[in-house]
Amino acid sequence: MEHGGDRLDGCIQCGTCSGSCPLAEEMDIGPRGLFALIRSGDLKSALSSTTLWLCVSCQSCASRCPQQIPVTDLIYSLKQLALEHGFVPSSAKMPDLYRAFAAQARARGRVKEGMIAARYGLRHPGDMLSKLPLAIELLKRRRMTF
Amino acid sequence: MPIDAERGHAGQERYAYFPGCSMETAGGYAQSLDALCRALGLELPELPGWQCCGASAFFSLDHEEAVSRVARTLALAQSVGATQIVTGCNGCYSTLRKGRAALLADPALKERIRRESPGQELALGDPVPVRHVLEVLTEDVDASRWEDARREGRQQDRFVAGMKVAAYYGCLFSRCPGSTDDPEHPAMLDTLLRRLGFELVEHGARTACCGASHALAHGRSTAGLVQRIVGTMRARGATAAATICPLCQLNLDSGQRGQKGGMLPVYFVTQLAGLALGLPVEDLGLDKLLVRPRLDPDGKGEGVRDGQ
Repeated sequence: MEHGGDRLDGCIQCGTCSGSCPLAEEMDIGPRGLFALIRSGDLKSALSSTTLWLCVSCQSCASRCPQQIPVTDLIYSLKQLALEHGFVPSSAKMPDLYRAFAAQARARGRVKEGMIAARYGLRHPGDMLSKLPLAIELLKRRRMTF
Repeated sequence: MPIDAERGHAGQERYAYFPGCSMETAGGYAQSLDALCRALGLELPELPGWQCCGASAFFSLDHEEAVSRVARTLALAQSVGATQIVTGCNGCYSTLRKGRAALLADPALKERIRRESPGQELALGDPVPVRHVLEVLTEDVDASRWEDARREGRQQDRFVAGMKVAAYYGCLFSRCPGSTDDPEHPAMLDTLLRRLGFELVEHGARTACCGASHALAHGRSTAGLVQRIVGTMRARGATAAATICPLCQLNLDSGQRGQKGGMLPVYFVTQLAGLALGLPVEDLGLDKLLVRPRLDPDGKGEGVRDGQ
């Protein structure tokens, strides 16, 4: 693995990462468990976990890890591996958001949040609908452009 | 030169301002930063032809493309003679710093990116440093310059007095490569706001995650994060929150629907600084906040929102 995978050897399974993670409760397995899986050789389960796609990249775990494991960078690498090898779980929604974002950045140089939301919303109309009241409020305050 | 050198406040830095894509829709951030720069004589010329930093999306999809995007931005800044890039967005700040660190740590990657950019001379030998607007306002604009500007303003105290501000840093200002502030207990925003005469409240949510872009796809999960942050601030007696990132501000501002015990106006640091200097309120874009502050003498504590 490209970004600090070898550093996982130093993981002492203390769970500071899982305890620091804002969305650990939503994950099928927390970061500590994820690293236990990888070290046991079950890379397939690790790459199929929802953990990767719920990671907000807030860096809490990485900044607190007593072994200075670059957890967030590791998760970035795992996300790329999961995409490359087709292990993304069907419930994962962030790949669509990232792709909508990247497509627009590549095509136009800059992105407009309204456009990203619209493109993402084509695949996830439920999320789009639930954000409609906010979208209207933002439009009224001239805080959304397309 | 960023600040009038004759006044003796200047570093010799030539800034290139990188607004980032979210700045356009960030409620009053650009407007208030502009007003503030004029009042302070601070020059933040926009980096011409800047492109999206890539955010967490590109680092999630393709590491090399992510670093390559950042490399272009750094080279662009160098090509216009800038010595520093300055951004007011934690996402851009962290992404640009992360890409810059990756370039410095991986000469082979740097060489590949250079080779794969035909027609572009990517000057990446010594990439320009990346700084946050908060750092420039706190570290480069010295206290006496703020004092001068405050003296020139009028009636500022009617907004500042009585306001109890909770400084909110979000995740990535203090937790990115080479951060200049403490990852768990950052102090720079508190320092600046105190210098401007605000009363700050101590609270435990200053670096708690707002949910960032997950708010769109996982809104139900991130709503709890925002409620905890705002709830913590209110429990500590805050009547206002100060933010330094468009996405943090949007999440905190928009996530208070149905919040118990009243709503907290979520300002950008530049809006509060503008109030402290007595700049015209209409120049600060306060009307764009979803939870709008009541700035009359009796209304210090409360925000109001349409339809609530």
